[in-house]
Amino acid sequence: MPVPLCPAPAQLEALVLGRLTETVADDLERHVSTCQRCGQKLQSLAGEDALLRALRQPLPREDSRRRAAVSAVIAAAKKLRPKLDTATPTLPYDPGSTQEYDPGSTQEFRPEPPTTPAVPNPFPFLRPPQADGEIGRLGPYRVLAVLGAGGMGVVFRAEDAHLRRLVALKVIKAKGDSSPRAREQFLAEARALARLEHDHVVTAYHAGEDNGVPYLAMPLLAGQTLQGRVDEAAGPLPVAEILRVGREIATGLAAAHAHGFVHRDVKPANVWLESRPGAAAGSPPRVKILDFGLAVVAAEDAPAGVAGTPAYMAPEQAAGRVVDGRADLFSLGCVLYVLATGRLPFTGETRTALLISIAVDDPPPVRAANPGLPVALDELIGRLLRKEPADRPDAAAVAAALQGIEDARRPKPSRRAWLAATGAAVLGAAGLTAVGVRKLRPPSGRPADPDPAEVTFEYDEPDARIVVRRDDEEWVVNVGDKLPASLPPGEYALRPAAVAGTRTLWPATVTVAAGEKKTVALRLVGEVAAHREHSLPVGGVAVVTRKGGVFVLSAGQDRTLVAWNPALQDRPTVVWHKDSPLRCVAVSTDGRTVATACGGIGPRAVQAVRFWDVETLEPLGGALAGRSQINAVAFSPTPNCLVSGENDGTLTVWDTRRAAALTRVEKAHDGLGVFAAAFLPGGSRVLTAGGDGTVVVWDVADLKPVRTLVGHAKPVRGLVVLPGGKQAASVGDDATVRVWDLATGQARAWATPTAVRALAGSPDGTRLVTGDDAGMVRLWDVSVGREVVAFRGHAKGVTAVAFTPDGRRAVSGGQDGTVRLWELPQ
Amino acid sequence: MFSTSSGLLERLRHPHATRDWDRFVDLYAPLLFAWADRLGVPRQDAADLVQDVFATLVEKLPTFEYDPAKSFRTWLKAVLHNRLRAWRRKGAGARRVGGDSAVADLPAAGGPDLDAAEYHAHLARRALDVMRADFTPDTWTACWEVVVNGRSAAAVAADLGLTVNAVYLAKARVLRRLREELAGLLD
Repeated sequence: MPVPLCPAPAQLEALVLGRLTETVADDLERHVSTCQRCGQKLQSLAGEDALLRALRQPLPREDSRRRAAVSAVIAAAKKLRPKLDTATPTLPYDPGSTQEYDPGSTQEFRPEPPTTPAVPNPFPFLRPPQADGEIGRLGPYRVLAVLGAGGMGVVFRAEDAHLRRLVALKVIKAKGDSSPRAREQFLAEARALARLEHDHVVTAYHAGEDNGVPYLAMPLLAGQTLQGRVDEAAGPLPVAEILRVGREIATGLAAAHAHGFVHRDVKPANVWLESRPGAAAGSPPRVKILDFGLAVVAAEDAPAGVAGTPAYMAPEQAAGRVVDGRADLFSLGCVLYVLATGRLPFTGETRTALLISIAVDDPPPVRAANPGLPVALDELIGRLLRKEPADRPDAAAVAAALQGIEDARRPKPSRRAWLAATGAAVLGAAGLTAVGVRKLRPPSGRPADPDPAEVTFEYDEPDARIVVRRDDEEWVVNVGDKLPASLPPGEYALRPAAVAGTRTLWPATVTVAAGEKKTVALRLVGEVAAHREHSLPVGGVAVVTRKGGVFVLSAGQDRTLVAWNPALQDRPTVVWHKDSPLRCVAVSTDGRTVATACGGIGPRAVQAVRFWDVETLEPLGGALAGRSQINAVAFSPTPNCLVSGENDGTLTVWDTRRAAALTRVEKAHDGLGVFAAAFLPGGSRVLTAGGDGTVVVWDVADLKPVRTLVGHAKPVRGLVVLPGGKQAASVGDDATVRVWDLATGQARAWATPTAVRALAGSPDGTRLVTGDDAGMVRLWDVSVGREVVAFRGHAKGVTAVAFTPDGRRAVSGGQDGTVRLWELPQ
Repeated sequence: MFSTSSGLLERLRHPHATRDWDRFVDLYAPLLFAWADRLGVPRQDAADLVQDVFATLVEKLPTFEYDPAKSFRTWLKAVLHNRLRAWRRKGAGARRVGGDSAVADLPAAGGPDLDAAEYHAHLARRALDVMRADFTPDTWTACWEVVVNGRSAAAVAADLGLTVNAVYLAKARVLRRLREELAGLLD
């Protein structure tokens, strides 16, 4: 519609600066294009803003070489475009891509046939051979055969000509310039290290230099590297082995750190598992840490700048900062992670992506991949992987913690009996098998416990079978027949024998003592159903009753509101509105109206709250206009009242009948954003959570802050008031869950591995569900302040969670655009 | 269905935004070169560094979340500095190997950062160039002459055979598209 009258100067100026939205501008343009008065007025308007200033600012000229470089990079960078669609960097764990020295390729150090010098000498740094069977000489050593070669240099089997002792002789490929001073430093450090004597550290017999190359002579060990063991297992190692290997590495590190040595390159390829021929049969290999301190002096086996995979590197090391022993602890955390899950904690398609992942990502907890692991191990690995070096435990503490977990796993004297009975007869499958129990794998040499426990599993499914696993032994148990299974004492991980989607058994572990008789009720928990209707991240989820059934409502950044009944086969109903991306959803106290809030950035963004009829999903009138992106809405328990919170800190109490703001404050939470809101029962107080890390209690009548709850160190993203109104819970980027006593302002806080984005409270107030950046949905027990179970399903972060009205299930929405329904343990 | 030409940053979050990635690269490559210059990266190494930054951005951009406490510029700055640190570390390695890469001669710390005004200037000017094809030649030229060259609307109108009003409206249209396209990037 043409505008008949000339627009006000301010409007003209906004028009000509391009600040009006297209619809408004169109009408004005039609008028201005033919209006002489407006034309004159335009010439007198100064019309200046940041964009114009930016466009006017002179830029330095680019010469032709620079232009060519820019064009070349533009062409190359555009080729990256296929990566845009597969932007989540994941690489299957590929130990073959590591480039380091790995003598694990030769399992035993057998003499090799002498090398005939028909080909040009590949080792020009060796002095010529002086006897048969030698490849050459170096210092006092007769070099006999190549054991391995890699990034650090070449390792030979050699004989000390004086002592007649076989050694592993490592010739260091020193970094390029190899200044005499650098080599001197290497020798000094190697000699200092040689004085460090410890069961779990391989130290040099001798460090020397001959023919211009530095070398180390070390004990010749039988066995393989931990990397070799990991490759062979192709999955998690048995718990007992993880704990033992981890403890022995930590013990070795503790000794070295105590003497001021830092390894700087702790990884499975640098951990030797020494098999000792003289030791009692079945005794486990002993850990020996290799290459202590060599990372500093040895060159990387790659062109400059394209070093080997730094998958085990601490963030401070990846950032090029000076490191101390705490970097080794982070690397140990990575090693334990790999042992526990068979996967690397940090991956990336490129070295760049990997380094960023190390710097910013929090890997999912190991128990998500391997639920049978002890909780304490999961927590310990989490602490080792903390980005901040000061937050990591020291090596001695890690060794002690692992020892503690080992002890806790076998508190009974039976363990001692096992150890003592090393030479005892090994019972066959029949000896272990009780009613309904069949062994999957033969016993691995450990004698059976003389006093098994009797466990009866109760399970809804008739004829169901489950697998129980202890260390590296597994049994299948028929649980449908309700007959007791006879199990040696210990801690068992449980899983369904048949694949049950992503669902797992609850409880996931059971610990039985010698002679104990117990009954364990089992349930399948985890993901029940999911849909993928949203093409962009989900902003909010809610559960409503409509059409006689329970529906999950989800609001997405793709501007859709989706209603889904997981009990029906029907496709979800999708309602779309041209507004901006939807950020959250809330259901009125009477359950008949749902509110969605939207918003975004830029001149086209629509910042609004809209209302929909729950039964029909028809839009209702009375939309509320916000000022910036609306992140939070909450219905008051009193009718026709709603509160909204925005990105710029605007907080508004609305009369929804008149679509009018009753009270409003600006710059709440220091203008850093309001991210969640919840009313107290009665409706006279409302709580908000914000970007300043606080939770504020407001008087609804005048929006005066009544109390500020301080505790979170980073933005608070989720907030619920627990039934009764005495307590509230909040979660945030600081990776904590907090439960506040609203009378005292005191909180209990529980740590989680990553930033938490979403929070919901069960209808009875006893449990919480959180959604976090690692894509995990976690269930918490409020009274004991403990995580009950964690579910994995979302490919990216979880942005919204809710309980079903019966409290038995939860729903979640994520950045991956999926909405998932979870069966919870009761 | 309703379709809108929302801003580049928003479009990059959608699947299959390959053309939008091309535009992003076109927009940001010269700016990143200028930024690298400012941080003291030798010219012969700037291309590798900028390419490295793009390799990071192609993975991180689709999940970039607008946060009122953090602008895109500061986020980009963090990415660039991160890459630069890695670069310097590699540079130190290169020097020890005795290579003649000029990276090895990098100063330990670069010069002052590109400030907000310079960032805006590079981005806005480049956007005007890159988006030239989105407009009729007269519309674009009118805006360019009035805004960048600072000529009077009347003079430009005479040159192009347009009314003064049309010149102003041309400027209005181009600036509006520019603002839309750069929503979230200019903060």
